[in-house]
Amino acid sequence: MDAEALVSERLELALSSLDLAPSYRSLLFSVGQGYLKAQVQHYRACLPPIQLPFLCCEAHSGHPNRAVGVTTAWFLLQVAAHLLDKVEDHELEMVGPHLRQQGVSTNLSTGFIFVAEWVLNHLEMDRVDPGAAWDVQRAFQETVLSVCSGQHLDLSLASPDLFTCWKIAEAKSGAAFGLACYVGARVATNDTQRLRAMEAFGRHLGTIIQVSDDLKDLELEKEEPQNPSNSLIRAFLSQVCQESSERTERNNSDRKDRDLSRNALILYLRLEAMKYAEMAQQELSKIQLCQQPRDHIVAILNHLSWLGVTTN
Amino acid sequence: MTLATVAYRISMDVSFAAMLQKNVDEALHRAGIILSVDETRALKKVLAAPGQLLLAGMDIVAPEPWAVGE
Repeated sequence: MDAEALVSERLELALSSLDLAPSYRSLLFSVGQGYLKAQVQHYRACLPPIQLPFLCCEAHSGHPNRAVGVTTAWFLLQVAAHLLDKVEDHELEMVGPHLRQQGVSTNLSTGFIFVAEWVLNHLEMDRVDPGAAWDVQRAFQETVLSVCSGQHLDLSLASPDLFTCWKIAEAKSGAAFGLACYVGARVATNDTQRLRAMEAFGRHLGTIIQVSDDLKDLELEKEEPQNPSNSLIRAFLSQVCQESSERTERNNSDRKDRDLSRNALILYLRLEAMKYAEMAQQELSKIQLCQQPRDHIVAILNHLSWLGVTTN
Repeated sequence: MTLATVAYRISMDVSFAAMLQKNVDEALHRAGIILSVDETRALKKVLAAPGQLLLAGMDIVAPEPWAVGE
């Protein structure tokens, strides 16, 4: 099964079915394709996230083709969220030269959201029954609101503490990946216990991916570790600096101390990633899944929980 | 946030790090740190993996730039 081709074909079908200006249709397709290829290219060492809904469907004895629509819609919402994130963070230069204009990117993001909605309104193409299709729509809408809520906290809280930072990560990346696993399983089963376990598994997996993103920020902020823009990094440094001053009279502006704090932060993020991996494993152990797709799902978890570190 | 405390102590306190390598439960008990079952399992896994606990010059791991669309 070629997940990339299936998602790309569904996107093309949706765009060709809608009355759009040729240039807008072309931009939606080329940007969507670009994101798709970037994801597949990045995940050479393990299966890319667009495989998750397919695998969760197969793990419940469903034919993977039933998950084409939900995977495409999920992927398009990820693209829309990423574009909006870059608009809000004023980082459009990272996306590409043709999307630097804020208005163009915002309008493109809105387009992706409604193309995803069109795809979800046509799940009969994948032989998803109306009851499951309704529940899939509900799950998408509730998750989008959860992500927006998390993003609001992220944008509005000046200095959230560590606990709040993790709650925000779970509401954003965690909820998004919980949705991928839930809807993938939902097109194959209506068993509540299985669906809950898959959603929780995805939520933990998504939070691990957020950790990876924070590590990227840490790398970018190598030059100015004393004034990080990432809120989780700030919260950690704030907490450990507090502990440090409580324990000793250390001077935190000292270069060596800053390096040690940075190392402590990397170790902390690895520990948190491993903790979420443990919780994800426990969710999988609650339910019986088909062996081969389960192995692939676990391989994705293992790869991401070590954050790309080779352990053999 | 106890894992934050553990990570910080490992990086700042060589004797605590050495004690953890020998016996995780004993070291945590002596330090008065209480971790959840998941946190303890995570700590043991990270400590057991060779090369994970480099106290100086820890390498930055691969980020996830797939969403950047470059």
